[in-house]
Amino acid sequence: MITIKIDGRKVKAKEGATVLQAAQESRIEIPTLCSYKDLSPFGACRLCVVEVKANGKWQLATSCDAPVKEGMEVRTKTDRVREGRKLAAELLYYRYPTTGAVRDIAKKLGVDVAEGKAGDHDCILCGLCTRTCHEVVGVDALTFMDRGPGRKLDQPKIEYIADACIGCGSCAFICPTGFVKMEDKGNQRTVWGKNFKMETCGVCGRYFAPVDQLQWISKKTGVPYEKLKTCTSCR
Amino acid sequence: MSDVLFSSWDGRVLDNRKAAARKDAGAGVPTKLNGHQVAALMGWNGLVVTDAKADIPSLALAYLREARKLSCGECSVCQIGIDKMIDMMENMAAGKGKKADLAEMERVIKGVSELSKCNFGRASALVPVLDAIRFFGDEFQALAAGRKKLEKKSYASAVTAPCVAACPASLDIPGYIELIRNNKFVDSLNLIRERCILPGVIGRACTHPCEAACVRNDIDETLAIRLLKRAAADYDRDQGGSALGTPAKEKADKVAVIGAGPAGLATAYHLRRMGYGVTIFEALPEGGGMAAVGIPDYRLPKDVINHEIDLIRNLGVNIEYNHRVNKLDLEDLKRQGFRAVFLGVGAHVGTKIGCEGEEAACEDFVQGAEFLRDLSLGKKIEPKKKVVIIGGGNVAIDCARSCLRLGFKDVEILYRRSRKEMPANDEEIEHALEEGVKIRYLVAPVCVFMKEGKVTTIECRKMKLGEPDESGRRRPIPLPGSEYKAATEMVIAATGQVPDLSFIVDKDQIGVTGWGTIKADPVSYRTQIEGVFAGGDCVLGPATLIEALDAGNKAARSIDAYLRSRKYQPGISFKGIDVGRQRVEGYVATRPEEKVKFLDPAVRGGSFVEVEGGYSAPQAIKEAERCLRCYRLVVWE
Repeated sequence: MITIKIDGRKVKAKEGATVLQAAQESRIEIPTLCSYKDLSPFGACRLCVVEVKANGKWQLATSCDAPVKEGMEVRTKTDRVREGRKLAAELLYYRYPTTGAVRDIAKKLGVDVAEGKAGDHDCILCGLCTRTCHEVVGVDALTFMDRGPGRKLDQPKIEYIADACIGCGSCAFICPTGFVKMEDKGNQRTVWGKNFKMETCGVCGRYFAPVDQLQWISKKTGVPYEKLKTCTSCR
Repeated sequence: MSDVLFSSWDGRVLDNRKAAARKDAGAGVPTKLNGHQVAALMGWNGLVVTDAKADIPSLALAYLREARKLSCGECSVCQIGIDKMIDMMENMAAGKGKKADLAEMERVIKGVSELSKCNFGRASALVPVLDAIRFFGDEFQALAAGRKKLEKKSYASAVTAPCVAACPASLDIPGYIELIRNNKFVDSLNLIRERCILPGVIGRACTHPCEAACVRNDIDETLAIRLLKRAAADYDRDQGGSALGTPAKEKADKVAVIGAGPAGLATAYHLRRMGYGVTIFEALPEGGGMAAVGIPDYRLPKDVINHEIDLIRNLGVNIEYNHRVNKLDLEDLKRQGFRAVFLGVGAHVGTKIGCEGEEAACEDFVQGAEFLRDLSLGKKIEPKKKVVIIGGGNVAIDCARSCLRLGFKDVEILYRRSRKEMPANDEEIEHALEEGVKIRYLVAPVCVFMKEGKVTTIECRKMKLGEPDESGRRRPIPLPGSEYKAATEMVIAATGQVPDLSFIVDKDQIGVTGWGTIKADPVSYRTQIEGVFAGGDCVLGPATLIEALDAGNKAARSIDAYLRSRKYQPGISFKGIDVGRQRVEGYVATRPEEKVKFLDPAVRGGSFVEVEGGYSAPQAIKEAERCLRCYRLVVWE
């Protein structure tokens, strides 16, 4: 175990944990839109900034991707932290003024959010879906489109590689804004505009998973397809 | 007198606007690019103005628009912050500015610089704009109040990064690393190929000056840039190997390339891509030049080189192996339809070490480059008990490690300076020591004794280090009376190579330097003979693979310009500007480099199997995540 100081309080943290995890374990609230406990940190939303003392100076750092170090000192409630979080939220709100999830967190962090239309579900490029697809599902059907010198893409976005997708729907589950839409209708699931045929549970007879996904699991694990045809409730 | 009117470069503010005489800005302030004076320049490290008429708000808006293109959008502050700045400036220009706008812009810039994820957002993106607002506030106020209009001007721009500037071929390193991070290995490889047509080769054998320049060195350790390049190349090859695109519309002109080494291959590839017919004449039975016959298989397996050469041939480059050009006959080449010639013959002849016994033809007293070439081309070399290798460069190390693998029992390197001055790569030296090579420092050979045509003994003299010589390394000084003799059965002299220019009859016509290399213009690669270009080791002397590729990349463009009777436009040079420095704040969490596995030293003897392992795809993605994306932007008029 490692001991760090958060807001003057001694906090124990596991080796390899992040400052965000250490804070959450100690019930210190830190806002975030792009972190999830089972995924590696990505540092996209910048809302989780805290102050970390490094080289004798307090510096702003995102807590989600800062690993704890013995004796580390962290502050989460200073004006500088509040201003930093507010600016990050403000900029998100500037780009996505009608996306509910953004409006909610911006309001919470002190941004002046205008009354009005809030029904949109923009992609805020948090990277939760790409990380889920890569790290948890392991199919890499979602990646960021690249931008840089000589590359033409004007607006960054997520690229959907339909051939790789198995229709598992994890991206829709993890998406914080509702941008990734998934619809199950009878024996068909639609996600990212692609249709998947659903398999029925051999026990209860309900549609429970796309055929593509079960085939993929079968191929990956060596478990025969027929054995996978039981839904989680009946297993 | 200084030509600088105002400079905030590197945070050092020099304001000559009200001064009677302009004070000097000191070294490192960019007032010229490619030799041309700039009127005003905005770059990653500040604002420089030389012309009082320069419109700073216009320049700032142009800068923001260029920065917008580089901002990846993967964190929520940098790109949106730039967008907000652009919107505010456009509003001001449209006469809808508010007095509070400037304060608001400052707040956004400071916030974005503190909060951004990568070094581009932290510094390059907005730092110079802040300088502009602070020191040219009146102009921005005038714009906000509608008293001023923005000039409609076009500005030039260029992008670099510390690693890019350190790379002889200026590869877009942050770009290809980002593509790996996004799991786009083939796209990454295609970006690498634009300036490095032997990615698997360079990913293994490059001296990687980029890694010494990596900003992460100040935080933890460098990005493994070379290994990431190798990962992109290996990934693609494992998937069957993607083609090198298709040539442009066929052109009628043909170009002859002499030598299928890195310089020749790069020249041929790029000219072929432009649609030219290209034939390479290669003296040896295989291509790759020094990469193939100078670097042993345990560092660079043959199949890697051959795969990459095959791809170039598949594009339509014709390579004639075993075709030594014995005499450069331009008239004959012209008759065969070649309108231009590129000489990339390398430097394959060992230099004399200046010790007695050297002139005698003896099979056991050989040149390093020759030894490696023979070995590579399949000559059977019988191991002996003891071999002494003379020299401190990579060729010496390669010879020593090869000898161990061939079964030599006792392998010793003699170097006349100390470890610190040794030009070989540190990693190579470490591997050699780990495998059992002995290195004696501060020793030079005096005489090699032979009996009945066989080497028996070497006499050496000890040295001490004196004052630095013109190379900057301390000069070795012989210690009189320190001579000693040692038994040995073989001596390999690996102290450097020169080009074999015997095929050039009229050396005065083409121009040869005192070093025995071909004189060629360092920018256009033209020689003194019209239509003849040269690059790589035969111009530079023994240098690196990546420098040879760079020569080929640029020579191809220069040859194209020549054939189309156009002026050759070289790229922007950042020479003289310290691209390492940047005003950056903020906390970067440490994260060690992903490590690769090496072949166990115990099983390396007797085998030329590759020693260094590569990254798996997930490992490469993890390593790529460490990149701080230190793009540096400059925009100027």
